[in-house]
Amino acid sequence: MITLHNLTHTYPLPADACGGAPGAALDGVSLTVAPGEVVVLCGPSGCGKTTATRLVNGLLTASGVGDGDSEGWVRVFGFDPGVTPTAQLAQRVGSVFQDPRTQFFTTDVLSELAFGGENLGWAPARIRARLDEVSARWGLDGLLGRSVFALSGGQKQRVICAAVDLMDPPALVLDEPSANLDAEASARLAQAVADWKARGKAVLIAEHRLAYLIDAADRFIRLEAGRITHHLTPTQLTALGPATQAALSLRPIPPPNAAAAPKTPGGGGGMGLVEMREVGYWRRVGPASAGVGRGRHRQVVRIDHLTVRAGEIVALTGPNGAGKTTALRWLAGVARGGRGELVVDGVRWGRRRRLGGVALVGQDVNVQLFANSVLGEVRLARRGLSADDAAAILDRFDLRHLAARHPLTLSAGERQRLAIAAALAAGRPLIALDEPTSGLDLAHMRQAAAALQELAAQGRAVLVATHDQDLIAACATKTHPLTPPPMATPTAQNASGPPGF
Amino acid sequence: MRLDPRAKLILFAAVNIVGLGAPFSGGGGIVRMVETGLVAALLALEGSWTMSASALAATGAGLAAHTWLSPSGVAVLAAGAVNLFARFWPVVLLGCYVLSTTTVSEFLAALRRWRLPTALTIPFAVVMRFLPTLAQESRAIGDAMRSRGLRLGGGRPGAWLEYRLVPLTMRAVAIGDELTAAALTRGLDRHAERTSLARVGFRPPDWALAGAAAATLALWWTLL
Amino acid sequence: MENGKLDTRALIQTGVFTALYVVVLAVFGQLGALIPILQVMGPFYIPMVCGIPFMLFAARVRAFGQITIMGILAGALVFLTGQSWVVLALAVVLAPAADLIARAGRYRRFPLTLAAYVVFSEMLIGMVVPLFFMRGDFIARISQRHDDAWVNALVNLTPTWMFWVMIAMIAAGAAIGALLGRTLVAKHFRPAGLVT
Repeated sequence: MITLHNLTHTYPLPADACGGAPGAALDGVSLTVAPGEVVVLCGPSGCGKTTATRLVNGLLTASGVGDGDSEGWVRVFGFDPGVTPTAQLAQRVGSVFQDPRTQFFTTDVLSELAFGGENLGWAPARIRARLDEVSARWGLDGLLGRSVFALSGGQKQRVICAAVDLMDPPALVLDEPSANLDAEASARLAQAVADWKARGKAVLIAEHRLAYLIDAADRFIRLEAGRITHHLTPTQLTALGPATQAALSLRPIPPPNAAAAPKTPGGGGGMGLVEMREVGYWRRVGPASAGVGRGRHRQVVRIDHLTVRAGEIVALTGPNGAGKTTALRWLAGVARGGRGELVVDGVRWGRRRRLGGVALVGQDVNVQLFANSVLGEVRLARRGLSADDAAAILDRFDLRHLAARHPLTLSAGERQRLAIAAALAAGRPLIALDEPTSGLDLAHMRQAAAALQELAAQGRAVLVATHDQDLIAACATKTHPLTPPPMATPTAQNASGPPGF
Repeated sequence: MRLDPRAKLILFAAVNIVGLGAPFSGGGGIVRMVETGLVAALLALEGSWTMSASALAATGAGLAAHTWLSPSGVAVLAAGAVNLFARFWPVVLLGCYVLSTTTVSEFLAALRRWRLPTALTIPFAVVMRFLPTLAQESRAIGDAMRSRGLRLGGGRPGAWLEYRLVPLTMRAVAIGDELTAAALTRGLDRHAERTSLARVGFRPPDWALAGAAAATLALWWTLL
Repeated sequence: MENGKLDTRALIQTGVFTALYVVVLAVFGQLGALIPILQVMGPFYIPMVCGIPFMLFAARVRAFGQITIMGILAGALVFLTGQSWVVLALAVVLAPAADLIARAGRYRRFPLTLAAYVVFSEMLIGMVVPLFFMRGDFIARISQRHDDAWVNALVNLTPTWMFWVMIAMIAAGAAIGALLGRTLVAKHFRPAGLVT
């Protein structure tokens, strides 16, 4: 049983790194999660979901410094997470976080699974027995020897779940576990949650995307500004309908049909038609990065024909591993090699031309922001851009009031819009975006969609790789599904390895 | 072939000391040949034939340059360059071998047998975990810089350094925080007694390797 | 921020910054291997560039021992990637010394942090020690087989005074690196909330 009793938590600083607003991050929250029950915390960014999960898994008091003050109490099967030693707590609460890439402590699957048991000082025989059990349950037998860097996001998240399961904690806390997963991986995650529920675990999940949990969850609790506003059963939540859900800033359930709603393209700019023809890309796959051992080449992208017109927003869809990211990197000229051509208004663009003519907003905007102010970031996009013009662009993306802030102090949604604003400021005809809405709540997703529509209205051709159905429904004029190329055809002369470090 | 990390480290120390310090003439040359043979054999066992051959070639070139190049004019520079390369290359290759054939857990288990404190082993594990991550992040930053036309700092070299390193550092801190959360919630505690699933222990090949390493060192000293 | 506790968090943070330091060191060291001019300037610009991660690390140090651990691990990794064992030996001595110096200013007084970083960086001199001081036996041996011209030419390539110049270059580079690091901490890391 997870119990929060009249819990109030205040961070010492306003605008904390956890996205907390000034004031109390949690304000008099009481809730319980019984064994065999799945409770989902939802609500807009900064509503206190993450704070709640971090109080349950003990992270907020683990260091005891600068974490803020709590009133009320938390109990997990009788223990106070704030004072329970790390090792004991790990056996009572298992945690899964948002980004599958950052949760690994080791570099190979087997070590990662064993990590928890080793930390608890279990005998190797006991760890091995548990390991066999969880790897069978989570379908990981084929992955045990792999490097974690060779896994897809969904596989990584599954390994993390299994690693947590190895310690067999009665309570589980998941903080936006699906933010980086595609539909299929989310569905598998939902199965995993259902499995935990069936085995009598108490599961608490903080999430923006709710649709995939609708069958597994028992209750949805909506928070806003640190307070509970709604208790909903799955049936009640679905019955609210899209309009009410939107008013509560919840993503629509059931999700909209992605292919629906053809929209008229925005205003035509100077440039008309962009075509990708016969694009193929190969990558060396093989042993771990340090490079001792053999590798081989495998095709990772295949696009026969794709067109984007100025003013159009084309959604590039497909499961993880379909090559969406690589396709965009090729398109933007940052990935060397590959085959095929990009033709813009009848003119073939070589790699150099693409590098200067396509603005790329990559998956992780944190590594694409270089200036020390929001305004500076936009001015950096094009030499000679005046402060007034840059401010005008910020206005279009509702960022003007943040002009003096350091980009990394912005919320995830604001940072994404800033990267989009910088792409517009660069003045390039074609803009490619990679998963611009992963981890965003409804409001920020809508703002991102509006930002894309602004790009189209400015006459840009927009290509956006995404598996966010809500985003597609909100702004895409067309979808282009991408399928993973078949595993065969390793042709050496087409070798186009990623650029060296 | 799975070797004990300690055997690999002992061999590495010997190859490092001899490789960087020993002469190419006389006993030094013999010891070099023996050690390069070991390095090449280990790499070949992993299927890295090119690396294996390059280790042999480097040492061969070093010995050849030492024996045949006459010390005058340009030849001195050429011999110096070959000499330097021949010294470093087998050591670098063995380093790659050790790092890419040893899992982090094996390293940790081995270092624990050597009674290194957790204050060193935990950060060491983090470093091993972080090196590939930093490479990935750095690539992403390079992509973004090229795509945004900032490849050479937008014309200012000082800015280039800033763009390269500041986002990388920020990402490292952020990922480090998330990694800390993951490690703490899975029970990593520096004061607790850890166990290890990794099977480390000296078997005949390990003894042979460590013995060979010690023998080459001894051989070098006696031949000096 | 120093609270004296070398806990799990502090250790992970140390590992993160060690990795960063080693990567910057390796990448910019390789740059020197490609561009000959940089090769000569290596002892100057490498500690300069590494000053950026180091100064942020110093600003976030929570406990005594973190700089020591970083130094020893960095030395060990440099050793593992094919440099002389002398780097590791120097690190074991210099890193604790640097830690003590920085602690004397409670990790917040810039002149002491700068001095600490200069001391810390001097471990890099271990990379070139074999070129200068371990050639004695080397020279003795080849002089038996070759005439003196050979020996003189080699000695001329690496005169001993160059060694002292390199030590000075490291110190100068580290001092400028510390200033550079402080500038970037003020420009980026503090506004971004990474340093309180």
